[in-house]
Amino acid sequence: MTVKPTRRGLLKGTLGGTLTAALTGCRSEQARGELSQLTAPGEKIVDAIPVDVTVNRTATQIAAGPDTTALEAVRNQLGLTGTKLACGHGACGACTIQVDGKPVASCLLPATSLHRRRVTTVEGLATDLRGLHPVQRAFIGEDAMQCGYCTPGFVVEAAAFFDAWRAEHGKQPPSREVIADALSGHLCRCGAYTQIYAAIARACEGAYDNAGERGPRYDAREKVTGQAKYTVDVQLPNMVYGAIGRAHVAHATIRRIDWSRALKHPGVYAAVDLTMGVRTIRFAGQELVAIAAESEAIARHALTLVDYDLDVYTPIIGIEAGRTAKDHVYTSRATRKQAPNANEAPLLPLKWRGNLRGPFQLFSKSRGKARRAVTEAKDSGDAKRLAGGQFSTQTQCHSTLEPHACVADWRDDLLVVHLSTQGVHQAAEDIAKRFDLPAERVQVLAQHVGGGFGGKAVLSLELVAAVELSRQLGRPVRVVLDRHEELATGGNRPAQEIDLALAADTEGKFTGVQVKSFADAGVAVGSAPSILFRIMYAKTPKKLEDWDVVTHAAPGKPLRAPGGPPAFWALEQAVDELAHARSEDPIALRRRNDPNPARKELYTWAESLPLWRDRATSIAADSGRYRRGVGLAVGGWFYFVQPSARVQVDTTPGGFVVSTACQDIGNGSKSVLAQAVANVFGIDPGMVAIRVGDSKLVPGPMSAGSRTATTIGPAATQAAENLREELLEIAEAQLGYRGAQAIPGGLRHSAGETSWGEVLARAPRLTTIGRRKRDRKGYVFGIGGLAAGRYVSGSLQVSEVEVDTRLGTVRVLQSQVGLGVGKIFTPVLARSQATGGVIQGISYALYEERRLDPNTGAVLTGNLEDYRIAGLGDVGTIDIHFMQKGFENVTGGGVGLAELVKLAPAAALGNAVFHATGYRPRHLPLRPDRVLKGLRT
Amino acid sequence: MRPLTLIRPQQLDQVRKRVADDPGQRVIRAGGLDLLDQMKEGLLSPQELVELRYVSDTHGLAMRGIQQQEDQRWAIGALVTLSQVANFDGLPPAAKALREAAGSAATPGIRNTATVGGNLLQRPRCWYFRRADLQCLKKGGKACLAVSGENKYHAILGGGPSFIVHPSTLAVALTALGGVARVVGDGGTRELPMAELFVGPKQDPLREHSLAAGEVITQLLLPALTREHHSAYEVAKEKHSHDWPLAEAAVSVQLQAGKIAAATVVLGHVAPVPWKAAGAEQVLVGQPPSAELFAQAAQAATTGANPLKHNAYKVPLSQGLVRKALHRACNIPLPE
Ligand SMILES: Cc1cc2nc3c(=O)[nH]c(=O)nc-3n(C[C@H](O)[C@H](O)[C@H](O)COP(=O)(O)OP(=O)(O)OC[C@H]3O[C@@H](n4cnc5c(N)ncnc54)[C@H](O)[C@@H]3O)c2cc1C
Ligand code: SF4
Ligand code: FES
Ligand code: FES
Repeated sequence: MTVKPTRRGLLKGTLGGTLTAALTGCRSEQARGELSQLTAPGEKIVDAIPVDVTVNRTATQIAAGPDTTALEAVRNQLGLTGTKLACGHGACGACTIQVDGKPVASCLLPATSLHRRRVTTVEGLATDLRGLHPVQRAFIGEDAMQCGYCTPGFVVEAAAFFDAWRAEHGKQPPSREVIADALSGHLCRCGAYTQIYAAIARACEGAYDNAGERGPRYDAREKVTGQAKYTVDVQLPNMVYGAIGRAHVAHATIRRIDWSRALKHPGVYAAVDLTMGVRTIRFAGQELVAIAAESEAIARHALTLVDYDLDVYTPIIGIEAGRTAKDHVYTSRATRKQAPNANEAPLLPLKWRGNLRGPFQLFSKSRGKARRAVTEAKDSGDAKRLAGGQFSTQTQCHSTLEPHACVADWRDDLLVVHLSTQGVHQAAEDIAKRFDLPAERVQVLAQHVGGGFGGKAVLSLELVAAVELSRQLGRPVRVVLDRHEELATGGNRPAQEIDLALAADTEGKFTGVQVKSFADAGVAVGSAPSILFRIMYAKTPKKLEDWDVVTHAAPGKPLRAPGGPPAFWALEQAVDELAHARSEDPIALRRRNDPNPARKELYTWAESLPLWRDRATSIAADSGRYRRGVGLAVGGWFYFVQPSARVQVDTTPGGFVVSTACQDIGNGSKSVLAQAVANVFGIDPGMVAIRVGDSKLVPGPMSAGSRTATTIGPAATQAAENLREELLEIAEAQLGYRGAQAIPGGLRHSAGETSWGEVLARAPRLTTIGRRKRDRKGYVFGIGGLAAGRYVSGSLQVSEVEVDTRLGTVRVLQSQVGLGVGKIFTPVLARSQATGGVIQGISYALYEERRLDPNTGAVLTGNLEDYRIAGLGDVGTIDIHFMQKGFENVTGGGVGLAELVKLAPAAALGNAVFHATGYRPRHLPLRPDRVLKGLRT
Repeated sequence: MRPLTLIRPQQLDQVRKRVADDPGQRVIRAGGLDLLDQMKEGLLSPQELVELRYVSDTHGLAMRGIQQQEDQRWAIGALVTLSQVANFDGLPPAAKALREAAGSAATPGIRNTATVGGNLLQRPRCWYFRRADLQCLKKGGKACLAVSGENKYHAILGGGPSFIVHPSTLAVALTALGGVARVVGDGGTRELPMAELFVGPKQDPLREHSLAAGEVITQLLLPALTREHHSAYEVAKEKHSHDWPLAEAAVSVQLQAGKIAAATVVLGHVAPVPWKAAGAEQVLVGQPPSAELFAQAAQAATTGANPLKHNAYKVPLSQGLVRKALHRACNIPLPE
């Protein structure tokens, strides 16, 4: 396969937003006239009244303006940044504080109402007497978090619940329903619900009353106490606030943008143009200008004073409109080049026909054979030989709970950028290039990152805005998207329409798969899912065709398993359909056609599950209002590693220090590093200090493409092993330990045993750098520092649902998930990541859906009420089963699972709905209106 | 930015006068949730917020308590929070629908600060209305954008020219229970039945209630409820965790000698006002309760429904809820 990349894909990193190429300098201007004195961060220019309040047991006073929220007061005036802003409209619970012991959403609470009240924030849950609150200990112990951004909110509410529950019920454990109700106002985008349930229930039972304060996740304590600092929490002296002015219409040409009124407003410092010379507006929310001011409120207000002179046109919204519209989103060869890449793979040159781009057929296999097989099966008229039809999936938003955020500090000698990113190292390289700086003059920092899922892998315009404004003003500039901006432009998984036909012979052997898919990635292109059809049932001939349909909507971006959920939604339901048509067990049919060794094992495992084995033998076995059903689907994914990445291990007299320029976005990078080194020395991971989130460290991998653990785990192991050898030599030669041999925890030598701690205290400081060894059989290909491995991982999910036939809701009761990914580096964290992915898959299947107004292209689902994400009560129980064999040729013995787990959930639920009711859903999400309609026809 | 001030009068009359003097620029603040929600969105930029919470005259006391009056009616203060209503077990069992509604609305963290008065008078959630950059009929624009746009969450009953659904969950239960608002205005105190408090878009597309500027709800009154009265509230949502209702039903029935002597059936989130389903009530009155009767009443509840392009599903949904609520109110197990 020869691939000629025309533009870099995500796996390297490109500039997001509307533009990828041809970036020119920005037009910009500074406000003249007097600069008003900076007041406290976030303060507004209104009369403020003093409010007496006791915060975390200390009496204090805050200055509350009429519209100051309790959240702003706590974060900006008291500097208690543990309490988080995520939605700003009461819908997510991230901002929860306790007022007189009762949990409240502080983002909608007037600060004035705190007068004479007792406030407890996450920072105040621990007391000198007892240390951490039992709920905090439980969250640590059960690993009830990933990125940790939602954690303070959950912990504060759960602590209030715990206190009330204990008072009333003692150590009786609360039921799942009770916990779900109490925390119904909280959302966790990473999907830590399985562990959150466990933490709260076990804390109530008393399991954590006297427990320690350490757990499997390296930075858990920081996260449950609110000490973890995210980019949104960075406060620098002299910092000013930037905000981005966006298009309110989806299609227009720009005649003029005039910010003179905005610049005259008191407290406004500067403006920059973000159009970069492009005069066409192609989606609502497109970035046009950025303004810096002394507070975010002033900056946002000033945006309303920018005058736009536009010629507005009718936008093209949705796949159907894109296919049929006479107007074109891109009208010339040159403008088509501006189309951003929605996927990770490089873009190949393809034909354009109006708004259509394609067909992309590269991943077909025996195309003619596949087509003939489908025709033949059709002509046979035998329903047992053909399955499929038209499937469709919706646009899904990344909507990480920490929004895109950047604080840029342009100094003479160094540009320091605090960035919520999935790749500090890559970002630093890209920034240097973008702003024409030598690499050593750029530093990117990201101590904690509140989720990524693919949406924070490329440079986007909040960064350009912050850096340009900082360059101009010579002051640090902070730009943070609000929830509407995040949902409108922060990234999305494209909507997909998939026509799929699956043909088989009378024996139930697949003879061909034919797929024609259309993607609506808005103004972006390249979201081709066909490779996924290719890797599944790998021996079957396939005719695969992907088309892009460009429309006037924000660009799609890779979202955890790009292309996967739509492809498997179609394929795995078609397989199920065929099995039912043949009256055959769905596993038997798959096994006959599936050569993948990882999944072969999983089939055997699934057959032993009571949930699967004991399911009703007929379709729609229940006849009442509530109908239960069980569905099964499988998945497969590639694996990537980043051979260029390095991990450094240093010794100090106090212990080991591991460092690499990667980041922890909730995936557990820090824990993987600590565990790998601890394993080599046979010590407690607590002895290992971790430094990540700084581009000045040795180059680390991006957190994307399920590559992190498989890259840094083996690299850290290698570094630690080399270090151990060196330490042995030194022990022998310099420290006088004769016949020194490594044993878990230290050395054995002629005079007895000595711990590593003692050795380090006496040894000189050492440094080693490790990298991941090549896989024994090499890679399929490598581009730009990234390599694709030879092996395909496998997953299998069995889910049970209950369909309420009167209200049309689908409730997931339980899921059993088997994963064939080889060796697991940090089992507890891997389980968290796996359940989180399954939960995101369930959320996608049942609720999530970005909606645009068909007439104007305006984003209607710009908040977390209208953009629905599954909460605690929506996901059922989830069990993960790891099949740890089969990847012996892979260095380290295992491959990534972050994306794999997202593939099967939707189809497993679809198949379960069919099993329960006889209605075969074809469109996602499985909304009540659709289910009711489906049941009636 | 326009300066914003806050005042905190101690007399209710001061609150009222302050607002009545310049109603375009001054608003009453109770819990402040919906006001902040709207101000953050840029839907509202008043010059002055007038706090209700500092009122400490006799009205102030009334607004903060839940008590039974001498005439046996229960009075719930307008500043009482939703969680206080949900957790107050002094209310008669017949008021179950109200407690269930209060406990089901929003999230625990919102219910702890949201007030009853504010809940009734909150603005609609229509996704066109809540975006400052879209100008629809309800905001003084020319057309309802939902009609030709996305209207899955909009009205199937009583709609036009605006098709909002009334957002208040409490309003549904209060209407079913025959609740009345005690309102203090220029002319003194008056009692306003729910049906008169809420106005539909045909009357005035710009607002959802009939209070004059500066009029304040001090209490919500429940009629004297006896052992003969039974009620229930039901809701359908997409999610099981917090979600706004797709449709709601609250019913209140009076059982006398094995027959339904009186019935109120009210639908929520299907019409611009809490929707009294007169058709269902007619089916019920005078009949002994039974599963068949309830099924018929449920059918009749949506009489006159005129769905838009995307919301016809609300018809069966509402019917299902009415049925379930009736069964629960009368304690007859659902045959399913
Ligand atoms: C995430 C979320 C979910 C929600 N879900 C639901 C739900 O499911 N069901 C539901 O019903 N609601 C729901 N709500 C709405 C919430 O209940 C209301 O916002 C809240 O009750 C408003 O009360 P408040 O006291 O804060 O009102 P305020 O914001 O203070 O006032 C609202 C309006 O009422 C006026 N007002 C208040 N009190 C009086 C009075 N006594 N006399 C005259 N005028 C008065 C004010 O002037 C203002 O115009 C939800 C809100 C959020 C943020
Ligand atoms: S339903 Fe009412 S609020 Fe919504 S768009 Fe129509 S007129 Fe505006
Ligand atoms: S930030 Fe307050 S609830 Fe989401
Ligand atoms: S851990 Fe909950 S949002 Fe990331």
